[in-house]
Amino acid sequence: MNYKLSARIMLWAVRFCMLALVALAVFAPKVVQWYVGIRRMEDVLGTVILVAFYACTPSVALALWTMDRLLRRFTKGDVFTRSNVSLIRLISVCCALVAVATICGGIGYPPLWFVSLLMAFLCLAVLVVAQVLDAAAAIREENDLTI
Amino acid sequence: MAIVVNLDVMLAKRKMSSIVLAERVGITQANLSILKTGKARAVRFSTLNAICRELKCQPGDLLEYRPDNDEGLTDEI
Repeated sequence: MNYKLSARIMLWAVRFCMLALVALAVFAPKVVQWYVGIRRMEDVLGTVILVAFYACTPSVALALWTMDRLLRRFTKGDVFTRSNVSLIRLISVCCALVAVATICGGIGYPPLWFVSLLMAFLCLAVLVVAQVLDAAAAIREENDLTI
Repeated sequence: MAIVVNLDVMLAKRKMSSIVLAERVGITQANLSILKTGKARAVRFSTLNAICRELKCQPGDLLEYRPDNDEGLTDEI
Protein backbone atom coordinates (compact mmCIF):
# COMPACT_ATOMS: atom_id res chain seq x y z
CA MET A 1 0.00 0.00 0.00
CA ASN A 2 1.62 3.29 -1.03
CA TYR A 3 1.44 6.42 1.06
CA LYS A 4 -1.07 8.15 -1.25
CA LEU A 5 -3.57 5.34 -0.81
CA SER A 6 -3.04 5.38 2.98
CA ALA A 7 -3.51 9.15 2.97
CA ARG A 8 -6.73 8.81 0.95
CA ILE A 9 -8.13 6.22 3.38
CA MET A 10 -7.15 8.39 6.34
CA LEU A 11 -8.74 11.41 4.64
CA TRP A 12 -12.09 9.65 4.50
CA ALA A 13 -11.70 8.56 8.13
CA VAL A 14 -11.02 12.18 9.15
CA ARG A 15 -14.07 13.38 7.21
CA PHE A 16 -16.18 10.74 8.95
CA CYS A 17 -14.85 11.99 12.30
CA MET A 18 -15.74 15.57 11.33
CA LEU A 19 -19.33 14.51 10.65
CA ALA A 20 -19.36 12.53 13.90
CA LEU A 21 -18.13 15.59 15.78
CA VAL A 22 -20.88 17.76 14.31
CA ALA A 23 -23.50 15.14 15.21
CA LEU A 24 -22.09 14.81 18.72
CA ALA A 25 -22.04 18.57 19.18
CA VAL A 26 -25.72 18.71 18.26
CA PHE A 27 -26.78 15.74 20.39
CA ALA A 28 -24.28 16.17 23.26
CA PRO A 29 -26.84 17.35 25.84
CA LYS A 30 -29.01 14.25 25.21
CA VAL A 31 -25.98 11.90 25.21
CA VAL A 32 -24.67 13.37 28.47
CA GLN A 33 -28.14 13.20 30.04
CA TRP A 34 -28.38 9.52 29.08
CA TYR A 35 -24.88 8.83 30.46
CA VAL A 36 -25.62 10.63 33.72
CA GLY A 37 -28.89 8.66 33.96
CA ILE A 38 -27.36 5.21 33.53
CA ARG A 39 -24.46 6.00 35.86
CA ARG A 40 -26.81 7.60 38.39
CA MET A 41 -24.54 10.61 38.72
CA GLU A 42 -25.41 14.07 39.96
CA ASP A 43 -26.70 16.51 37.36
CA VAL A 44 -23.85 18.93 38.10
CA LEU A 45 -21.35 16.31 36.85
CA GLY A 46 -23.29 16.13 33.63
CA THR A 47 -22.91 19.88 33.28
CA VAL A 48 -19.16 19.59 33.91
CA ILE A 49 -18.83 16.91 31.20
CA LEU A 50 -20.91 18.98 28.77
CA VAL A 51 -18.90 22.16 29.40
CA ALA A 52 -15.62 20.27 29.03
CA PHE A 53 -16.89 18.73 25.77
CA TYR A 54 -17.91 22.07 24.29
CA ALA A 55 -14.64 23.63 25.45
CA CYS A 56 -12.74 20.95 23.54
CA THR A 57 -14.92 20.98 20.41
CA PRO A 58 -13.31 24.00 18.64
CA SER A 59 -9.80 22.57 19.14
CA VAL A 60 -10.87 19.13 17.93
CA ALA A 61 -12.63 20.68 14.92
CA LEU A 62 -9.51 22.71 14.07
CA ALA A 63 -7.30 19.64 14.45
CA LEU A 64 -9.56 17.59 12.14
CA TRP A 65 -9.75 20.38 9.54
CA THR A 66 -5.95 20.74 9.67
CA MET A 67 -5.55 16.99 9.21
CA ASP A 68 -7.90 17.19 6.23
CA ARG A 69 -5.71 19.89 4.64
CA LEU A 70 -2.54 17.94 5.40
CA LEU A 71 -3.87 14.68 3.98
CA ARG A 72 -5.10 16.42 0.81
CA ARG A 73 -1.56 17.69 0.30
CA PHE A 74 -0.16 14.18 0.89
CA THR A 75 -2.48 12.74 -1.75
CA LYS A 76 -1.09 15.33 -4.23
CA GLY A 77 2.47 14.18 -3.40
CA ASP A 78 3.29 17.33 -1.47
CA VAL A 79 4.80 15.77 1.66
CA PHE A 80 8.11 17.18 2.90
CA THR A 81 7.46 20.91 3.00
CA ARG A 82 7.79 23.57 5.71
CA SER A 83 4.11 24.46 5.43
CA ASN A 84 3.17 20.85 6.27
CA VAL A 85 5.41 21.08 9.34
CA SER A 86 3.43 24.16 10.44
CA LEU A 87 0.17 22.27 10.01
CA ILE A 88 1.43 19.37 12.12
CA ARG A 89 2.55 21.81 14.82
CA LEU A 90 -0.95 23.31 14.77
CA ILE A 91 -2.42 19.84 15.41
CA SER A 92 -0.04 19.53 18.36
CA VAL A 93 -1.28 22.87 19.74
CA CYS A 94 -4.89 21.66 19.40
CA CYS A 95 -4.01 18.53 21.39
CA ALA A 96 -2.45 20.73 24.08
CA LEU A 97 -5.59 22.90 24.24
CA VAL A 98 -7.79 19.83 24.68
CA ALA A 99 -5.43 18.59 27.41
CA VAL A 100 -5.76 21.93 29.24
CA ALA A 101 -9.56 21.97 28.88
CA THR A 102 -9.89 18.43 30.23
CA ILE A 103 -7.50 19.17 33.11
CA CYS A 104 -9.90 21.93 34.16
CA GLY A 105 -12.91 19.64 33.61
CA GLY A 106 -11.20 16.92 35.59
CA ILE A 107 -11.43 19.05 38.72
CA GLY A 108 -15.18 18.43 38.66
CA TYR A 109 -15.09 14.98 37.03
CA PRO A 110 -11.70 13.29 37.62
CA PRO A 111 -11.96 10.59 34.88
CA LEU A 112 -11.42 13.45 32.41
CA TRP A 113 -7.79 13.51 33.58
CA PHE A 114 -7.23 10.28 31.63
CA VAL A 115 -8.23 12.20 28.51
CA SER A 116 -5.82 15.00 29.54
CA LEU A 117 -2.98 12.51 29.91
CA LEU A 118 -3.74 10.96 26.54
CA MET A 119 -3.95 14.33 24.80
CA ALA A 120 -0.74 15.57 26.46
CA PHE A 121 1.06 12.44 25.24
CA LEU A 122 -0.42 12.87 21.77
CA CYS A 123 0.71 16.52 21.76
CA LEU A 124 4.30 15.48 22.44
CA ALA A 125 4.20 12.63 19.93
CA VAL A 126 2.86 14.92 17.19
CA LEU A 127 5.54 17.51 18.04
CA VAL A 128 8.23 14.87 17.53
CA VAL A 129 6.67 13.94 14.18
CA ALA A 130 6.76 17.66 13.24
CA GLN A 131 10.47 17.84 14.12
CA VAL A 132 11.23 14.76 12.03
CA LEU A 133 9.26 16.14 9.09
CA ASP A 134 11.12 19.46 9.47
CA ALA A 135 14.43 17.62 9.16
CA ALA A 136 13.06 15.75 6.13
CA ALA A 137 11.96 19.05 4.54
CA ALA A 138 15.49 20.42 5.00
CA ILE A 139 16.96 17.31 3.33
CA ARG A 140 14.46 17.61 0.48
CA GLU A 141 15.34 21.29 -0.06
CA GLU A 142 19.03 20.36 -0.09
CA ASN A 143 18.29 17.56 -2.54
CA ASP A 144 16.30 19.88 -4.82
CA LEU A 145 19.35 22.12 -5.09
CA THR A 146 21.70 19.20 -5.76
CA ILE A 147 22.27 19.02 -9.50
CA MET B 1 29.41 30.40 -1.04
CA ALA B 2 32.99 30.72 -2.29
CA ILE B 3 32.71 28.07 -5.03
CA VAL B 4 32.03 29.73 -8.37
CA VAL B 5 30.77 27.76 -11.37
CA ASN B 6 32.22 29.08 -14.60
CA LEU B 7 29.78 27.22 -16.83
CA ASP B 8 28.93 30.27 -18.95
CA VAL B 9 32.61 30.75 -19.79
CA MET B 10 33.02 27.13 -20.91
CA LEU B 11 29.76 27.21 -22.90
CA ALA B 12 31.00 30.31 -24.73
CA LYS B 13 34.41 28.72 -25.40
CA ARG B 14 32.81 25.56 -26.81
CA LYS B 15 30.11 27.58 -28.61
CA MET B 16 27.39 25.47 -27.11
CA SER B 17 24.03 26.63 -25.84
CA SER B 18 22.80 25.69 -22.35
CA ILE B 19 19.74 24.03 -23.92
CA VAL B 20 21.96 21.65 -25.89
CA LEU B 21 24.22 20.98 -22.90
CA ALA B 22 21.25 20.28 -20.60
CA GLU B 23 19.87 17.80 -23.13
CA ARG B 24 23.18 16.00 -23.58
CA VAL B 25 23.94 15.89 -19.86
CA GLY B 26 20.42 14.68 -19.02
CA ILE B 27 19.34 17.42 -16.65
CA THR B 28 16.60 19.99 -17.02
CA GLN B 29 17.30 23.54 -18.18
CA ALA B 30 16.02 24.76 -14.84
CA ASN B 31 18.62 22.69 -13.01
CA LEU B 32 21.35 23.85 -15.37
CA SER B 33 20.29 27.41 -14.70
CA ILE B 34 20.50 26.77 -10.93
CA LEU B 35 24.05 25.54 -11.49
CA LYS B 36 25.02 28.49 -13.69
CA THR B 37 23.66 31.10 -11.28
CA GLY B 38 25.46 29.63 -8.28
CA LYS B 39 22.28 28.65 -6.44
CA ALA B 40 23.14 24.95 -6.37
CA ARG B 41 24.00 23.51 -2.96
CA ALA B 42 25.80 20.45 -4.31
CA VAL B 43 26.79 18.79 -7.57
CA ARG B 44 26.78 15.05 -8.12
CA PHE B 45 29.93 13.52 -9.54
CA SER B 46 27.82 11.93 -12.26
CA THR B 47 26.58 15.38 -13.37
CA LEU B 48 30.10 16.86 -13.23
CA ASN B 49 31.36 13.86 -15.18
CA ALA B 50 28.72 14.38 -17.89
CA ILE B 51 29.35 18.14 -18.15
CA CYS B 52 33.14 17.64 -18.46
CA ARG B 53 32.55 14.95 -21.10
CA GLU B 54 30.31 17.20 -23.20
CA LEU B 55 32.37 20.36 -22.80
CA LYS B 56 35.66 18.45 -23.12
CA CYS B 57 37.15 20.16 -20.08
CA GLN B 58 38.44 19.50 -16.58
CA PRO B 59 36.45 20.03 -13.37
CA GLY B 60 38.90 22.80 -12.51
CA ASP B 61 37.82 24.65 -15.66
CA LEU B 62 34.29 24.71 -14.33
CA LEU B 63 34.78 25.14 -10.58
CA GLU B 64 36.75 27.91 -8.97
CA TYR B 65 37.30 28.73 -5.32
CA ARG B 66 36.98 32.46 -4.78
CA PRO B 67 36.98 33.24 -1.05
CA ASP B 68 34.86 36.21 -0.05
CA ASN B 69 36.23 38.95 2.29
CA ASP B 70 35.34 37.19 5.58
CA GLU B 71 36.79 33.89 4.51
CA GLY B 72 39.92 35.67 3.23
CA LEU B 73 40.46 37.46 6.55
CA THR B 74 40.03 34.20 8.48
CA ASP B 75 42.66 32.53 6.30
CA GLU B 76 45.14 35.36 6.89
CA ILE B 77 44.62 35.16 10.66
